[in-house]
Amino acid sequence: MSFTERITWTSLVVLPVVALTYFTVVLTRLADAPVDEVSWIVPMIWAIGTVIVGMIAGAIAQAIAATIASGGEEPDTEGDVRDKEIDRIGEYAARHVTSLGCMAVIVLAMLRADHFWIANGVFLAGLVGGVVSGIVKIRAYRRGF
Amino acid sequence: MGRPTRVTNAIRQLRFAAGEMTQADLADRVGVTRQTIIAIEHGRYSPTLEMAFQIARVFEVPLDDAFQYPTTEEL
Repeated sequence: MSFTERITWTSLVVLPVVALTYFTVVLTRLADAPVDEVSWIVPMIWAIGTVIVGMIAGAIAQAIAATIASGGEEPDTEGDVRDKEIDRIGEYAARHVTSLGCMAVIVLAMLRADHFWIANGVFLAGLVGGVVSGIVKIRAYRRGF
Repeated sequence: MGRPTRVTNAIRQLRFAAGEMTQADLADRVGVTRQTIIAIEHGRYSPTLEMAFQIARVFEVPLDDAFQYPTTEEL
């Protein structure tokens, strides 16, 4: 398994875990209070920070593991031409998902929806796009393209 | 699911004929990862034209000896 594929697997762990945790917290609060009284900003900042830190920590851990596995040689963290092609394929797939999500958020803004729905709509679109990208990449790695 | 590429190759045979060259050794010579060579041999990745030429050059064979594409009748 190449380093870039391992990073993709890391994203497929981090993103769903963060999404599940965040939306569990926020939707629980939404069930108990009107939408304009739900405290979502701090949880979202934590969620975004956790994704960033989680991906960086995952990359560092993978690099250390790869260095140990190669007997001390510096691992190839940039990937080769195939890794770059797979990355492009994944990002292209994600772009469709996030574009649809952003269109939905635009509609929410037109309808003057609460900031809660707009912000969480964008956040959800980004998370789903990231997961879709990861799935498409792993499929390309495992089954070819 | 069908094969993602119709390009076939004789890389595995060429490696063994070249003194049992390893996938890692071929990857180093071409400048790609071992996983990419594995994917090419298993038909899960069609290499770029440049990479195909580089692979054929490693074994000192014509491109057609390393990679094959079905004829119109075979398609």
